[in-house]
Amino acid sequence: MSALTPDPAHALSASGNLARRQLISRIFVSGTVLACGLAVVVLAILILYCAVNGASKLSFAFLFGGAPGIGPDIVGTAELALIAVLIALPIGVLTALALAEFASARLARAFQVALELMAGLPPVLLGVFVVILIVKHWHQSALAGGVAMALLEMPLIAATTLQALRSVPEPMRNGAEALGVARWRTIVGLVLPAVSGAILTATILATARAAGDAALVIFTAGPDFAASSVQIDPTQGIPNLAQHLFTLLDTGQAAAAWSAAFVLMVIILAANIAARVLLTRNNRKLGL
Amino acid sequence: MSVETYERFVLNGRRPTTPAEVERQVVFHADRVSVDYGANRALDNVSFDIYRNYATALIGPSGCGKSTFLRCLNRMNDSIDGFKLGGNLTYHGHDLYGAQANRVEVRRRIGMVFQKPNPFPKSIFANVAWAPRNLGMKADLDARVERALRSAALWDEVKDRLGSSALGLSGGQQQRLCIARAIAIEPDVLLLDEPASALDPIATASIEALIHDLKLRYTIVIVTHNMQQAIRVADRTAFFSLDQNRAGTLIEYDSTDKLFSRPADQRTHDYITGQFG
Amino acid sequence: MRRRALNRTDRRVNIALRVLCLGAGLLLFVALAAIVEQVIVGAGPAINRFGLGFLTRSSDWNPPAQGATTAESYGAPLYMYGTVVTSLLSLIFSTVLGVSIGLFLAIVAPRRVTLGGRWRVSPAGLIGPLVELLAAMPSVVLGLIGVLVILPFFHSTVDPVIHAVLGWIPIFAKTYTAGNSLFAASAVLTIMIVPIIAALSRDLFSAVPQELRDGAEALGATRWEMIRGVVLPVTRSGVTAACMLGLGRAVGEAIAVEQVVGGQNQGVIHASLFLGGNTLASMIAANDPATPVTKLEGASLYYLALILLVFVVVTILAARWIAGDFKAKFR
Ligand SMILES: Nc1ncnc2c1ncn2[C@@H]1O[C@H](COP(=O)(O)OP(=O)(O)O)[C@@H](O)[C@H]1O
Ligand SMILES: [Mg+2]
Repeated sequence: MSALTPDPAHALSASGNLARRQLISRIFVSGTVLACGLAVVVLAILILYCAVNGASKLSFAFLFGGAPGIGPDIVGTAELALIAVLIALPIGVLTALALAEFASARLARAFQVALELMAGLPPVLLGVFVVILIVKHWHQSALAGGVAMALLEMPLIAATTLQALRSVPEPMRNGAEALGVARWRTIVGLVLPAVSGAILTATILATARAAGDAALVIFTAGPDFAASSVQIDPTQGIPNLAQHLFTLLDTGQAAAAWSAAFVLMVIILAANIAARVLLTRNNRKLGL
Repeated sequence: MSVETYERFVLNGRRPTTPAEVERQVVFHADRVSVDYGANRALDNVSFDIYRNYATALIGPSGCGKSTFLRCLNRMNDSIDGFKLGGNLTYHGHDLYGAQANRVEVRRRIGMVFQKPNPFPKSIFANVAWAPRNLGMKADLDARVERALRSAALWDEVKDRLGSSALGLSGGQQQRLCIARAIAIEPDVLLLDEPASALDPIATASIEALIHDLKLRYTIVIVTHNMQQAIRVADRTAFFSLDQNRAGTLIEYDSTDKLFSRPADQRTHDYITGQFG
Repeated sequence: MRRRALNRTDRRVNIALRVLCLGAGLLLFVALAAIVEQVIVGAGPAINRFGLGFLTRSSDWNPPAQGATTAESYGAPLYMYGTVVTSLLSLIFSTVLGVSIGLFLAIVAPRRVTLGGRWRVSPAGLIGPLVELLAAMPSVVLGLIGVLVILPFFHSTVDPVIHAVLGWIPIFAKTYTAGNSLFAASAVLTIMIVPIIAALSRDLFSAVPQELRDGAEALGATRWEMIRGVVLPVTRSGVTAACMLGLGRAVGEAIAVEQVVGGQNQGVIHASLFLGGNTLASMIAANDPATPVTKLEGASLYYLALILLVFVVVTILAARWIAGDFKAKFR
């Protein structure tokens, strides 16, 4: 036997170059632990800073009152979110259905590429697009802002819905169709209910993302001044949280910015957590 | 070695019967080994010795802990959540699970081939050369790879396409590649977990022929659910089954001839005559 | 089983649903085409005026002052440079960090840790969702943290160290800003895209078959050798695609970057990363294209948007191409 074959009598401690190799391994493995620790620390700093600097200044008047409060902004953000969902949800779901149920393989591939492109477009570009398309010919408005937000949400909703549609068990669908049930009844009565949880989750996540992205609204939705009272006319510019925060920062009003950021962060993180809990429960229900 | 140790380690309490048996060194000594996965006891009270340069077969109904036991021998179970080993398991007298034992070193000495062929998505050459390179066996790597592939009876089939992907090989070729990969670093022991169960009869025959050659140089432990295979390749056979608590345990361990012709235990008899369950 | 023939209403609704769905899908293409078309049309005056020279003329951004008669002059190189530098720098940082985090979550982290002899927790199960939360952080909040926390910290602590150690290399040269710089923008972008890369690569690493990992470890490989020899090669194209997606986000991020990047542009590309600058996206965000000073300035901003669009589409298509390569390899 070759000399390299380990001598069985030798104890099972590291032999040959193993000590060095394990040292290298430990260094790299510690690196991954460190990286992970760093991420957790950064997240903690983000949340703690916003909480400490922001929460202390919170008051009823700030939350619900007009300028310098953010009441109108919260209402405005809710309205923008609603407009965006009304546009993006049906189009997103229908697009996913088109891809999963109706498109030929080739068309589906084209859809897929278009969806990925759309999902990758930066919010600032979507904002610019809406400016050229709508604002230049009309004026800044909640509707224009909602369209910009919908453009961001639509591919996100479509992609998640599509994934869920593809995981609907084939037998469930075939079973119904073998019984001679009309396609639309299968889709509306069986398939869509099965993926409704996923659609809801996707909608919440997409809305949270769009509502927190100032680039979508700063050119399109509205006045960059603090509003003193609630405004709801969708054809007019509308105050909203993301833009308000951006303006506060741009004008160096740090104290108010912290509080607004804290509120925005709480809303968005709460939406995210809710969406995840919902998804887990839904998956469990489907036995996934 | 004193007579008692000799009897305990080498002969498991029996008197030597053949001169060859006297020569046999104990490689693995299991003493009341038990395994728990979380709250589930998978293996209970397993005690026996595995001898050098023998092929030892582990047989038994599925779920009786054959793979579990095999994976204990090179500590492949360590990373499984909730895994706990009780009792004593030694390798050439060294405690496999002792504080001194380095599990990477253990695996370097005790190679393993799995049920499903698992070649790396790399070239054939790179599959075999990967571990020697890690271990610093870089001198004459080409010759080492060739030797390993020859030992695994694969060289003639692949020598013209060493650079092409291992995933392009047939199942039987992939499994022999995995064997070549394992012996390229010249281990002391080869553990084979149902190495032929995913293969057709011809590929199975070539793996079995290979095992006959390999046991001249390595100690081999092979799990199989195929009794004919155990008879064909193994010198000794251990029969595992479930005990009254539904934990796997060792029922009988003997030379393959004896175990299959004159089993001592009724359960072994029932199993090998197909009256199991 | 005999199929029941559909009645008339069912057939009609079937067709209606089909048309509705495909119509919605079509809308996707229309929207994409409209975005490209509208941005080109919007940029029209600037394209006519500067042509492709817009990409190379080293120029500052000069809208005419009130009543001034000097010729307006705009050019893109400064902002293209800012975008390339910040996104590549953050890509490097976040690839290393994100992939490390992915490795920790998928492979390195122990399945369960017992705390205080009682609580059994799974580190990956705990930290994974936190990383996803970090990914959900709004960019304007990141910008705020960037301005009020990261900039002062960099200015007082990080920058001096870098200048002291590496200051002799021009890109690390000492400067006199309040910390706003391309470097600070890269740091904020890194925070933004690390969680994206981490979450995606974690999923890829978790999908590496256990058999392959066992196969490597059964050959006496250390953990790192297993990762380097099996996990990373197997997932290479997927991870690259994930990084490209992160790159796409970095290239297009406007708000957070605008807050920290500095924005001073004297029409020259500075060697030092520690001077202020602008990126394509931050420039657009800083100069509201809805209310430009002149028509030509507006068009020039749309021209910047067009360049940004090209950058982004190229990264997305590259990511797709690489990921497709990945799928093909696995099949
Ligand atoms: N990774 C694991 N986690 C939990 N239980 C396991 C695991 N692997 C095996 N078991 C359990 O251990 C018992 C023995 O399994 P195994 O050793 O695979 O049997 P065999 O190889 O004889 O078919 C089975 O009951 C099985 O469910
Ligand atoms: Mg088994």
